[in-house]
Amino acid sequence: MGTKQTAAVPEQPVANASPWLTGLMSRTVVLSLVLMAVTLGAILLALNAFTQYRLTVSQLAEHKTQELMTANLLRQQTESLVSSSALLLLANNHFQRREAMFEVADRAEWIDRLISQLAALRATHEQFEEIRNDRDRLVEKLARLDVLVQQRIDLRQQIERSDTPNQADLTQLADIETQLVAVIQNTRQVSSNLGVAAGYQVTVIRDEVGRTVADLNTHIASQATLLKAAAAAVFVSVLVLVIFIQFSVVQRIRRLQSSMSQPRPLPGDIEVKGSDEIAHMGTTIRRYVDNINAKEERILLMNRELNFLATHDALTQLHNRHYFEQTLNQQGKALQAKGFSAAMIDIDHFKRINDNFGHAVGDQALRHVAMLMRRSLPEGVLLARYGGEEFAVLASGVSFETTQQWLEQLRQLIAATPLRVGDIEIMITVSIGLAPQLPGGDVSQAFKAADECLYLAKRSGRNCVTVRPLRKSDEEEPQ
Amino acid sequence: MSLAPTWPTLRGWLIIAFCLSGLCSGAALANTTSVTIDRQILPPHLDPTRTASASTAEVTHMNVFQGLTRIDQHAQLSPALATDWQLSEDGLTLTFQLREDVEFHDRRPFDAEVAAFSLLRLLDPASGNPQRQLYEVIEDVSVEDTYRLRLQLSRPDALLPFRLALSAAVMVHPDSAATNDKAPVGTGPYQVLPWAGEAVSLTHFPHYWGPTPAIRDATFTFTANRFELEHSLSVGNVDLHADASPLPSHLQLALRGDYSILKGSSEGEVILALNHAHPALADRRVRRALSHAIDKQALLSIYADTTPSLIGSHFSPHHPAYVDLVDYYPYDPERARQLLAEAGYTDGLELRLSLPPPIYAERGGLFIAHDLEAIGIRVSLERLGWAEWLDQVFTRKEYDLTLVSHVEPFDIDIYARPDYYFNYANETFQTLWAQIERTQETEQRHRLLAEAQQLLAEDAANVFLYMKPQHSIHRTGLQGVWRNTPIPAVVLEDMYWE
Repeated sequence: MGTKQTAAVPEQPVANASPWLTGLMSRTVVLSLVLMAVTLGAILLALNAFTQYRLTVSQLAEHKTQELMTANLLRQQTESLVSSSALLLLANNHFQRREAMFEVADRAEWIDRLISQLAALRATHEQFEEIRNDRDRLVEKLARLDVLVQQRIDLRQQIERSDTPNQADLTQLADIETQLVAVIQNTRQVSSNLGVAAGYQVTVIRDEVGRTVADLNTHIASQATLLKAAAAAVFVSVLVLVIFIQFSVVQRIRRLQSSMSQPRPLPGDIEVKGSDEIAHMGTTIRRYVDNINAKEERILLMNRELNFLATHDALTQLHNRHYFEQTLNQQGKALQAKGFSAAMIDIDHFKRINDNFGHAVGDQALRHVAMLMRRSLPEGVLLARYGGEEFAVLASGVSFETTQQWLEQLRQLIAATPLRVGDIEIMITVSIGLAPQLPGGDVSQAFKAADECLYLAKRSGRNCVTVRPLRKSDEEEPQ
Repeated sequence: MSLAPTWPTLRGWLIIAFCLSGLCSGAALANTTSVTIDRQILPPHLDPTRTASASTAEVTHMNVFQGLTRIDQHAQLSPALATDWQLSEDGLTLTFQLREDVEFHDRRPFDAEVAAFSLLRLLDPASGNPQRQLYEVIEDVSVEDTYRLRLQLSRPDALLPFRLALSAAVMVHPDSAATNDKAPVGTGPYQVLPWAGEAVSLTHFPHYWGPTPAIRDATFTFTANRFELEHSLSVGNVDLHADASPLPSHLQLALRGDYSILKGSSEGEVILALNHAHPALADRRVRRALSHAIDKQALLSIYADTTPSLIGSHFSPHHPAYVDLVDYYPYDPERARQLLAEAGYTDGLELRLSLPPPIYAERGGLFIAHDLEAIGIRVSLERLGWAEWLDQVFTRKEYDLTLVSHVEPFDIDIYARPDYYFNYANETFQTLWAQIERTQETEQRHRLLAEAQQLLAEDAANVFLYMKPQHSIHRTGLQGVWRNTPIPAVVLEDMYWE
C-alpha cells in the first residue's frame, strides 16, 4: 500500500475579538434580535391599535351610546309629557285627572333625572339648565292645567246634579274653558321649546358619534399602513435570516460533509474560512483528519516491519529459514526446470567466538558474515540464515561451476576480512558444503547433499569449500 | 311605550348604537353567571335587622345574611347556620347545634358566641330591630360550647324556629354589626361590593360554606318610576323583576318570548291602613264606612292577568286558621254614607291618602280616592318616596290613610302593638293575642286566631283588601326564581341560567 505525505496542519489562529461579537452565534443573535425587534414592533403596533380601537369602541358603546340613548329618551319623554297633558285635558273625572297627573309627575321626574344623567355624561351642566327650566315651566303649566281641569270636573258635576243649570256656573265653565285654551297654547309653546332643546342634544351627540367613527376610520387606515410596513419589515428580516443561515451555515456544513465523505479525506480538502464557529469546527476536523492520517502511516509502517520480521532474520537481515523453505516449496518445480546449486555455510568455531568474546560479538560475527555474503554473492542468489551460525545458499539459473567459484570467493573474502571489535580483529572463516542438482533429485536432496559436504568440509579442516561431485550411482539410483 | 324614533336618520344612529352596545354586552349576554334584578323600592340601608322595609330583606336575606334556620319557597323550614335543634320536653329550652365551617365575609368565624351576640342584640330594644316583639319569648341565650347554643324561653313557642328564619333574626358579627347598614358582612353565599347608596352589586363569596352557586354576580337595581321600569324591561336591561303583575306592559313583554312570567303568591296582605290617632278614624263607624265604600273587585282591575284573593281581615288564606271574612263589609256606598252621617261627617270629612311608590299602591290609590270621594270624603293624594313613607308614615305616623302591603308572613300580631304605625290600641285584641301566644294546642290556637281575625274585621281596624299576587317577570332561561315568596327574599343561590 502506498502512502501519501501530508503537510502539517497549522493551528488556526483564534480571533482576538470576542466570539460573541464576531462569531456565527453573535451574527445569528444580532439577526434574531433584529427579527424579534421587528416582530415585536409589529405586535406592539397591532396591540396599540387594538387598544385604541377598544377604547374608542368602549367609549362609543358605553358613553356615546348611553348619551345618545339618554338624549333620545329625554326627547321621547318630553313628547310623552305633552301626550300626558292631552290625557289631563280630556279627563272627565278625578280618577282620570289624577291618573294623568300621576303620569305627568312620573314623566317629569324621569325627565329631571335624564337631564341630570345627560349632564353628568357630557360633563357639562350649563346647556341643560335651559332644558330644565323648560321642563319646570311645562310642569308648572300642567299643574295649572290640573287645577283648571279639576275645577271643570267639579263644575260639570255640579251642573249635572242640578236640574236647572246655574247661569253663573255656565259662565264660570266657559271662563275655565277659555283659560284652558290659553294654558294649552302656552303649554304647546313650552313643550315645543323643550322638544327642540332635547332634539338638539340628540343631534349634537349624533354628530360627535359620527366624528368619532370618522376619526376611528382614519386611525384604522393609518394603523393598517403601519402594520403593512411592519409586516414587510418582518418578511425582509426573515428573508435575511434565512439567506444568512443558508450561506453562512448550511452550505459550509454541506461542504464540510462533502469533504469528509471522500474515502480518504485530506486536511487540505477541508475548508477553513473566517474565524467563526464553523471555521473553528473545520480546523478541528482538519486536525483530526491529519492525526488519523499520521496514525494510519504508523500502522502501515508497523505492518511492513512485521512482514519483514516474518520473512527475515532480525539479526542478520537475511531471509529466515521459514521464508527460505517456503520459497523452495513454492518454486521447487521451477528451480528444477531452471537448474540450481545448493550450499550450506557454517562459521567455523563459532562457539569459541561466543565463549571468548561474548554473545554480542558472536552476533556481530553473524552480521559480519551475512554482510559479506550479501556483498559477495549476486542478488539473484537466495540467502538465508538457516539456524545458529549456519546459512543456506541457493543459486539458480547459473552453472554449478560458477556457483562454486562464487562460494570460493566468498570463503576467501570472509577469511580475509577480519571482524574488528574495538582494537581487536577477530579472524573468521567459514566451511562450505556445495551440492549440484542431483539427477532426478529435488532441492531438499541437494541441500542434504550440501550439508553432508559441509560436514566433510568441517572434517577436512574447515575454511574450505567441499563439493559433492556427481556420481555414477546418482544416475542409477534416482533420488 | 315605544322606542322607535321618529327621525329616520336617528333610527340609523340608534341601530349603530345598539350594535356597539351589543359589542360590549355580548359577553354579558353569553355570561351565564350574572343576573340583574330590579326592585322598585330602594332599601333605606342594607341591615335587615334594623328596618321594617322588606326591600332590604329582598336584597340581603339568604344572599348576604343567613339565620339559624331558613324557609324555602314552599314555606318549609330547614336548617341553615344551625344543623339541628332540639326542644326540651317542657318546651322551654331550645338547643341549636351550629355549623362549624362558617365564615363571615371578612373571614371572621361564626360560632355560638357570635350567634348569642346576634340574638341578644335582636332582643335589645336599643338595637332598633322593628321585629323584636316576635322574639320576646326568648328569656335567655347561653353558649353551651363553641357550636352549641341554648335558648331559654319564657313559655313554649312552637313558631320560634320559623321566626328565627326571618330576616330580622339573621346572624351578624359583633365587629361588623354596627356598619352592616352601609357595608354588610354576613355568612351568605354573596358579599356586597362597596355600596354608594343606589344599585347593590353582589359577588360570590369564595369561602362560602355551602355549594358554589351558579350565579356568581348579581346586581340589584331600583326603579321606582313606572315608565323607567317599563323602558328598562323593554330594552332588556333587567333579568328579573319580582313584582310585575300591576305593571301595565308586563303582558306585552311576556308575549315577546324573551321574557316569561311566573305566577306566584306572597304572604303580603294589601290593606288601606288607617291612622287611629285621627279623630275621625278613631270612630269605628267611620272605619266601617270606609270598608263599605271601597269596591274591592274594581280595585283588582289593576291586575290584568290575575284575580288576587280578597281578604276580610289581616290574615293569609294560605294559613289553616284562616276565616273567610271577605263579605263582612260588602261594597255599599249608601251604607257607607249612612255610617258617615251617623258619625257626624255628613259633609265635612277630608282625608289625606299617602301612597308609597309601589305600582299597586299608586294605581290602587286612584280607585280608593275615587271610592272615598263617591261617599263624600274629600281625598288629597300624596305620593311619597319609600324613604319618605318609612319616615313620615311608618316612623312618625303622620298620615291619615295609606295603601300598603304587609309582606311579613303571619304578622297579625302587629295589631297587638299599640306603638305600631296604625296607632291601634285594642286591649281586647292584645289580651287575645297574649292568649294565642300561650296556646300550644293547634285546634285551640286556630280557634283563637279565628277570633282574632273576626275581632279585627268587626272593629274595622283597617280596610283589608286582597292578597298581593307575586307575578315575577324574568328573562326566559333564568331558572330557579321563587314562584311564591312566603317571606320577602330574592334567593340568588337557587337561580341559574338554562
